[in-house]
Amino acid sequence: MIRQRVVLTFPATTTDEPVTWRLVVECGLWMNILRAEVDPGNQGRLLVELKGSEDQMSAGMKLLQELAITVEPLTDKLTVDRDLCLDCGACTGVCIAGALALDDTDRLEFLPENCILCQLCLQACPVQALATTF
Amino acid sequence: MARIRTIPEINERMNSGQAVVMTADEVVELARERGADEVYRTVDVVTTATFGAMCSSGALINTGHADPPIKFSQAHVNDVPAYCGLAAVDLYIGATEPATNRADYGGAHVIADLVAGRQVHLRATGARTDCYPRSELETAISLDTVNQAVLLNPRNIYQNYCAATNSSDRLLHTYMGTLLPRHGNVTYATTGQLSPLLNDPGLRTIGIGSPVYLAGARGYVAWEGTQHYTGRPAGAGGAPIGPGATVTLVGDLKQMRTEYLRAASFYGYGTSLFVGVGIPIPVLDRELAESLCLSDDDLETIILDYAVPSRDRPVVARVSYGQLRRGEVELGGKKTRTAPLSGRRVSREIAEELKQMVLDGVFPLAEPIAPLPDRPSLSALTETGAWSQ
Repeated sequence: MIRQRVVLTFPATTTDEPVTWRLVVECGLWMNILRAEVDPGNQGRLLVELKGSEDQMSAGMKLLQELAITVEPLTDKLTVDRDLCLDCGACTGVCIAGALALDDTDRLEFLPENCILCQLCLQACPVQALATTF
Repeated sequence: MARIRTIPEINERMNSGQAVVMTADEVVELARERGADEVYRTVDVVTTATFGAMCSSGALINTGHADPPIKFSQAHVNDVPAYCGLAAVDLYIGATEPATNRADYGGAHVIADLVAGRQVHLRATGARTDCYPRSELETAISLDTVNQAVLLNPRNIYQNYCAATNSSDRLLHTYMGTLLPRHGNVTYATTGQLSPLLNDPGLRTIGIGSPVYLAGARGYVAWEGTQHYTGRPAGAGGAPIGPGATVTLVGDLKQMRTEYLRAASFYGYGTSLFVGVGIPIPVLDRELAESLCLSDDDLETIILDYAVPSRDRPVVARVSYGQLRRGEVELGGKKTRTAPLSGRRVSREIAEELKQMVLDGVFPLAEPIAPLPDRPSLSALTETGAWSQ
């Protein structure tokens, strides 16, 4: 079983395609939509968590490729600038998903598998050390 | 066994390399395993530290005189207004003063830029007088070029502080960070068992003239801080449950280090300065040993509701730092996430560094010249309305 969070970027031409239905029904993937920005006629974006067997996942990826939908791992979507970060912990107070936490040495750690790109942390950081690209 | 416990004798032990020095975290551990008696018997000095946003901070700069000379009547440094109602070329740059052209840059950033070795842009006007004939000046300055630069912070290292939550339906942007609606989180801003003034609740060893490790340089307690308050109800070991004593700190900005003096900009609030401070506390007697052994589970604070726009915000709960540090407290039967605002990682680093300096004999301890005053009450502002004779 593979489980991953990815950002799907739809070109304008596919915003009328029932992509999520096809991923679930045709490919048999389990899907949870965590964040969506769909503007018909324009580019759309979905943050989803996908779960399935290796075969189901590769069928899904193949379908996305056919539809010219870009798939990017969530890992790259939120960055912590370590030179700026004070490890103060302010961001952890708004991270309802539990992706930002202080470790045993009180250093900030980012757990991408929990992130839902809500972006509340961006304004909470007093030194603007966090950035996202969604 | 009676042990010699005066500061001169501790300094002597330091100089002969015999002093036993521990950080406040280490002492709490030692007390947990072996008891406060063991701490009293074996430890000479305990180092404490904090690293948090301290709004009442600023830099006093004497730029040196220009030729022909000017008396600053208005001055901006990187577009941040600097106070110049002092002698001719004395400037005070307050940490929370915003730049005239942007909200996310302020006096704290000017100070941090200077400490990082960067040049800043000074633009000033002066009233032409016989003493000071010049009316305008514009130049780059840096810490290397100015005559003197002093960090002069009128209120630092609060002895405890209240924690914050938000009962309203909207997100609040405060100096206590982003507060989520409907008691969605609690933020707190001290380092608890590691915090300097919480380790000496009776202010027996910290007073006017006490040496402190201020942002990586030697600094001193100059005076009581603004809003210094000793009337707060006390909990374990006499430690106040909520904001208590404060101190005015002063030190040479030219000697300070960028990692312990960092500019911050709280969204929707403004700028502030993260200041790193360490203070060594001598274990003079059994009573001091006991307060140094107080752990996060012993030290408490109150959680205030920042949604209430009043000087007297309601108390929502009373909790220990142990609870706050474990990441969750219960508010109204609901588990609520907690988050710190003071950097514990950097604070520990400061406590460790100070420990090494005390061990090496390069940070001698000193008795305060005068104690901090007892201030059992705080005066609130009495508003008279429009003034008329």
